[in-house]
Amino acid sequence: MSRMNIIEAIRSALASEMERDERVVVLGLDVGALGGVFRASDGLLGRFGPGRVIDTPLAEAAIIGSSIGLAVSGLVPVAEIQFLGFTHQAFHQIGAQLARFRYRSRGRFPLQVTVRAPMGGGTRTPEFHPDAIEAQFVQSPGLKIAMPATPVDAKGMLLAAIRDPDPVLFIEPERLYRADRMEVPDDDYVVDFGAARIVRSGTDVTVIAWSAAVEVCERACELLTARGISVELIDLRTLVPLDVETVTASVQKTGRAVVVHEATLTAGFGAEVAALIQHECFFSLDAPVERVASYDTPYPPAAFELAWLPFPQRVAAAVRKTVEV
Amino acid sequence: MTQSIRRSSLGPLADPQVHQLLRPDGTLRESSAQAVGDDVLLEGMHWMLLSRAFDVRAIALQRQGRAGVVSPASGQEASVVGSALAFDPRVDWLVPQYRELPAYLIWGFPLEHVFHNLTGRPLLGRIPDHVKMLPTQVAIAAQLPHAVGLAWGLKIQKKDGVVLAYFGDGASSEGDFHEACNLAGVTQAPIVFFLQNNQWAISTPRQLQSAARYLADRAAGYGFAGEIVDGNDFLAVHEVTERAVERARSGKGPTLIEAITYRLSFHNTTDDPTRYQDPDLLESAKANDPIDRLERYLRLRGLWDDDRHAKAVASAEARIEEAVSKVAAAPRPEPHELFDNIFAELTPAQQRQRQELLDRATE
Amino acid sequence: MVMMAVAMPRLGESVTEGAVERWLKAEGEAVQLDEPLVEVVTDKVTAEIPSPFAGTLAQILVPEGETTRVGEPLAHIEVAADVSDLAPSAGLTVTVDATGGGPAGQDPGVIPDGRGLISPVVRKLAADYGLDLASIPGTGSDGRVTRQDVLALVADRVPREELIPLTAVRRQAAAHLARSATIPHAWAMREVDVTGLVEYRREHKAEFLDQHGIPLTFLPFMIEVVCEALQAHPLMNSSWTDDAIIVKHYVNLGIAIATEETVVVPVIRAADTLSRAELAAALHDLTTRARQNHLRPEDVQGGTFTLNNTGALGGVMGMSIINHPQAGILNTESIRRRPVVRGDAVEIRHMMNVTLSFDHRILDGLHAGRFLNSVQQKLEHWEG
Repeated sequence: MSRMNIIEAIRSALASEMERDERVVVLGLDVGALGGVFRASDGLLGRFGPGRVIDTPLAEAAIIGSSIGLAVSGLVPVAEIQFLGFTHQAFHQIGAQLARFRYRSRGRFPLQVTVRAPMGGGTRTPEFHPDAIEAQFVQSPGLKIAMPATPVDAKGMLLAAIRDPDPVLFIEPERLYRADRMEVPDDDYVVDFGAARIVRSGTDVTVIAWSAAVEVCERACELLTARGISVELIDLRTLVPLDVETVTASVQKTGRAVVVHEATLTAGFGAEVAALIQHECFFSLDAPVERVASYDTPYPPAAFELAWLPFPQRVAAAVRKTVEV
Repeated sequence: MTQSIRRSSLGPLADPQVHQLLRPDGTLRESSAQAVGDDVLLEGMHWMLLSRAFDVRAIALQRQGRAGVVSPASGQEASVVGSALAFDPRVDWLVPQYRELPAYLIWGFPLEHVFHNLTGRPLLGRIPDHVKMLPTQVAIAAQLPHAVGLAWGLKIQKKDGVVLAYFGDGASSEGDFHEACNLAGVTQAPIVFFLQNNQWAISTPRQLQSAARYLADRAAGYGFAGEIVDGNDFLAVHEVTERAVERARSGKGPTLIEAITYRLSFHNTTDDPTRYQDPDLLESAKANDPIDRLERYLRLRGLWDDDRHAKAVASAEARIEEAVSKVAAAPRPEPHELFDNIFAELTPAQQRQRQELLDRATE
Repeated sequence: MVMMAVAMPRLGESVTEGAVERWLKAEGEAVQLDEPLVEVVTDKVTAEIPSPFAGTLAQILVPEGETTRVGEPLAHIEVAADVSDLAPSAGLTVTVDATGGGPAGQDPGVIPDGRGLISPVVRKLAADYGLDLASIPGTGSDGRVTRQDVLALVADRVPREELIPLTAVRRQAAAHLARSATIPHAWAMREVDVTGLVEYRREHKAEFLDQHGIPLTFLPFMIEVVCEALQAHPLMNSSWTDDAIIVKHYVNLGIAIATEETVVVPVIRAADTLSRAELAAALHDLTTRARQNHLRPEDVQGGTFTLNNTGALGGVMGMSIINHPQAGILNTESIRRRPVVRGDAVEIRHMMNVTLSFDHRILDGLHAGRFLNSVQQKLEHWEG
């Protein structure tokens, strides 16, 4: 075991998987000499050489598109897009091409491709850098979406992603990259997809979140404990595949649900979770399902950022609303 | 931390294909005429000094936590100012990426608006209605199709105006660059594509960006002229750009200008070039400073001296201080501004959200 | 003069902390506006921070080599009082408040009569239990019937779960038992004929009470016997450590006493040196104080062996858990009159089972057996 933060856990996963499987290559902007703008691939170029750690020209569509070809040729590409917001420039290669390749080729060409990208706000970054657009990719069947919130999950889920025979969009919580360290196993392990994590058990309300919003909810839980409200907090970990059982079992127990995400409210993935809960847990619900999300505006200037994003007091207020109805 | 440190080419300036009028030592090459008025040279000097002083100030503000991310143009002043001064901001349009500050000012964008944007008050940093400029673009090369459409539209409507589109060597790898150039060629749009090849895209050096000998060679593929110029030579940049502007104005279509220059500072305030840049390379690039080169020429011509220099620097710093203090005194942003400028009229859902936010703010 | 703080700036998107590499100014030195003040290092960027104020560097808060979080103060600079307000923008003046809110999509609007609102779970529960909704008292908003209300009504019909919070005492006991669980336990038992002992006590108890003022129970006899047996078989009076077995040549006998909340094991120190009367007195004292919750920490420390009088609650056989870090614990079960074979006849005798749990790392069946045999012998051949 070693104490690692999320970026160290990611680096550990990349290094160990590249060691274990010589087909794995890392490609993207500034991933080589610089080691990545967040240092996720720091040291990999020195260890594995420019044949396996590749600085590409500035072209997101080409990075993803060529990853498709690299995979067909027998390599296992792990492509980095510097910020999830820049996948806009590669969207047609992700949604229309990467996600559908197995289907279009009737199984002839499955693609073992991982696309890594950080997202999330709260750090006063320039435009597009914080965009939380994970829901837009959910509508591309054939693409898995993994969003770890802790160092242990980051390493285990990235190892699972790289080994997955299907394409995975691996979205990392940028704001938490260098947050608290935790004990992470040094040896090989994977965190399977489709298994949500119960962050804390409770009896009064189920709160569901993913990525950096999990940390916001943990702080909200502390506020709520002081008021005697017992929250069961679930970290979904993966949007596709989605662990429906854990969510529904919890809501059947508590009778109340609050979904929290950083993306804008309307048609965010919280809408999907809320619809599922309504359908599967209708007869267990004692209050309407609440959602806490950002306002339906483009990502605002830095001055408004913290008021725009979900913050702990807003989450706590939504939870209290379900209890007091 | 051992990383392989990159060398990046400064470009073959001895190559006759690369336009150069002024040698690095400040002397005119044989058989070159100045071809640029003294007033333009002096004006250029002032803008370049202002730009350099701005970079120093803005970086300091960022290090103090008072400004957001800064992308300095240090080392590229001649490339930007020399080209920008070849246009007429009253009729011509500027489409920037984000590393061309003095061009924005030349176009009439107020310096204090730059600081408003840097310090997080973008509504106060709005482009004034009379300034023919699009906002800076963070998504690399995404502005190029916009620039082409703008030029194309002016042409269709027989309106005066040429478009100046700035971007970098990294941008030329994006699909948007290709699609924009191709469309400009087909439509014969009145546009000048000005590519600042500063040798770096964050840590990616020029030779990893493209196998082309010169990025401007691509112009032939789109059916229009490509010009390569020593980006640190103010005179050459200005002359080449004037030719391109004239070409566009007279209906002869686009030009792709590649200005070979060097990024003397970091990519932006979150970057650390010591991790990937050969320090010797940086040193020799500093010796090729464009501001120094023009200054040497002007001194040789008797148009510049210590006194003028001191005054110019002082004036630049005073302008910056004035802008900074205006910005410091500006009011804080209001909550309602969050919902401004999404649509002409907010949807009912957005109106509800806006009201909730206002109710919360006044409690 | 006013003291202004210089904060650690955010030098990169995900950077949350930085280390001070070198102070470029010393405490007491004058500082100009924008003059380089300090070099800081993060794992993304190394940068020189220019002073945001002109004045005197009054106090360095983070020395060279130390790390601090973004936004935390690095130093204090004393400035003239009329410095302009150029503090970093703190953002919107929306106070983060307790009412929260945020975009909530469709607001259901004001509910005129809460009673009319039956949530899905309430409807279902009422149907399941055959309740008339109109008859259920509602404690929700505007009199709405909540799930809790329905469940409260049917509480006596169905077994409900109850949560007993853990007290510190229970937690400590649990932790102690967890340590005991690391000892590999083995068990052995003897059926002891204590008829002689029973009669002896019957004959002497009145006199004892007169003489000493405290009742004479069976326990002092057991203690004497156990102490003698421990002296004869000292391996039973020991502790396992990873380096060695520590055999104690003194006996601090722990006596397990049940209280309402838990079992406490106060210790009679040097039990092997005390007389019967002294043992009785010590027992009486410890038992009384245990039941009144007046035991002191030193009363329960230092035990070398434990005696558990499970017979007091009517038990005939039980396997106690060794009191860590001891090597054994002996139960004295209840004394029952039973038919037993003596010679060729069947007689009614007073029989008491003794069960021993022992640390199998230290002792095996042979040693445990010998110890138990000693105990049995002494009890069965009681002479006083």
